[in-house]
Amino acid sequence: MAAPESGDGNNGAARMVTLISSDNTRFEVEAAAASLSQTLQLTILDGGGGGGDGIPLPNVDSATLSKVLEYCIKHAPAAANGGAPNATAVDRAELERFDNEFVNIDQSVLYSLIMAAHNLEIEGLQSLVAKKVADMIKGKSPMEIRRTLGFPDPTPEEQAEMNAHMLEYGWAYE
Amino acid sequence: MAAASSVLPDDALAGVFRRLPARSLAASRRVCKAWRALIDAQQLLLRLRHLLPHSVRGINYIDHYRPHFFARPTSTPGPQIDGEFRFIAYEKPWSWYSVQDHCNGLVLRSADLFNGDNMYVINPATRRWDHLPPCGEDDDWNRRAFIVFDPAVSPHYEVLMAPPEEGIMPSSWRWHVLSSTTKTWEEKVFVREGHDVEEESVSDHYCLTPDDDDDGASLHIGREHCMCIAVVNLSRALDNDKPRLRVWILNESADKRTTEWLLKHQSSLNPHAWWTNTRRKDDPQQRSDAGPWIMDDTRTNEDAYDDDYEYNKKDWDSDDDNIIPDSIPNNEEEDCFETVDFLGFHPYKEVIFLSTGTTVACHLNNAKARFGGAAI
Repeated sequence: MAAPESGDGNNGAARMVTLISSDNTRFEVEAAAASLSQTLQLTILDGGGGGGDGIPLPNVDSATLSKVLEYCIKHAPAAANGGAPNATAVDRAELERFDNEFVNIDQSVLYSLIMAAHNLEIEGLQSLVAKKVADMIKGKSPMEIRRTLGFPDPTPEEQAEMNAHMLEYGWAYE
Repeated sequence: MAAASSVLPDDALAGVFRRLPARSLAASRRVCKAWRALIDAQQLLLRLRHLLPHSVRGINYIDHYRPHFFARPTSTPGPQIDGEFRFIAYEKPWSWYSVQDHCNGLVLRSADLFNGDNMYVINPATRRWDHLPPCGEDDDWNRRAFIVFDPAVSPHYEVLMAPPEEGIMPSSWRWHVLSSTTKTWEEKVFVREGHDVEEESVSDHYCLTPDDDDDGASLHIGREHCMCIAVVNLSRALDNDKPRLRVWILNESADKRTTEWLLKHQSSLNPHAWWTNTRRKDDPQQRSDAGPWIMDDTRTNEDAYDDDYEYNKKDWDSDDDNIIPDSIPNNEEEDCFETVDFLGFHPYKEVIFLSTGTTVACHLNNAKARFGGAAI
């Protein structure tokens, strides 16, 4: 029985896989980077995504996927080290700088990233974007949160409900 | 742009909520129905309850029956707190009012000496207030009332109204209790258990606070529903000129089956020294209102303090600053307030706040008194 053509990464050159976005753009990346996604990891371990096949990702458009892969490529070396216990302070600082800049993006892009990180189960990216949204919420009133996150203005019913629930917790919280 | 609630899956939102402090989480809970449902379903707020309170904005306390808010200027984020409750829309003007009690940020206040049904519960921080219904037929303004509130246990408060005739604490006691869940008064019988601190302390000491209507000792009970209850007893032994401070803690055994009173702290106080050492009229920086804590801005009132009011923004958290010498400097025999009032407990440090005209933070561990600021 022949081994899969794509090999297992032991032959020098890093193994590459192809991901196909919902709008049919093909992205070729190192298997190690794509494997940060729990969803893709099994497929890749099974030898999928190599050669001309490609792994279709019908829920992720090309703009989002390119952003996701930017994150994965940057974080793959540290992840390969098992959480990078040997990483130097410089490396860690560089990753932190990258992360901060990475989420400094338009809100619609941020939401697409949250969805993609969720669907692809990329743990580090999930917590990075969650932290970003949490930072946008912190210290704000319910109305300010609605405005910041682009909610439409509340209907009178919603407004009444917001007030009622303020009373419910008003004794303990502001 | 589509709203976050319609875009984001619950798991991703929950990940966001888990990164929020309690205050922001409570705000998020009011943003929309979907968020509220998610936060409630995952009990995210309850998860945080052991972390409360997150910061000490200041303490509310009562002096001459009026409410005050006492805070550190450097540690008070958010909108200013109105210690005089000017935000309450009273049904009619009050001719007289007094603060009955306060507990963990809520203040119980009654208005109009001759109209006892005007009782209010107020949260100065959230500006929320309740007008309580009258308590039964035999409503009496002279009845003592207490408020019990612990946000770490429940978002609701209870108000307890003592029986009209108190005297020495009987073995069983019929009180009225109102919970903010029902807003109605119910009768409850309390049974005394074990050692009675109050009785013991009353017998051989006399009261420090002339206008105190307690039966002999200046007592404060707080932290009900918590792991411990502390009773502070400020008394002056007849054979000793100095007032004594004694603090008892109600200690729960590990299995929570038994409780016992522990004398946690005992020391002599020297209010005369505090007063003298913190009030030097010739030096504004050394004056009693130059402490790191300041009172709410009540200086526009008729009892306004002098114009050269200044305070010091020094950080209060280090253990050695602002310690008040326990001896009186030579040739500095000034008139001093003879009374020591209890202002409150620090919520998570072993510190109590006392007032002798000057506010003093007293450390129970080393009995050192630290200067807080003016409290007149």
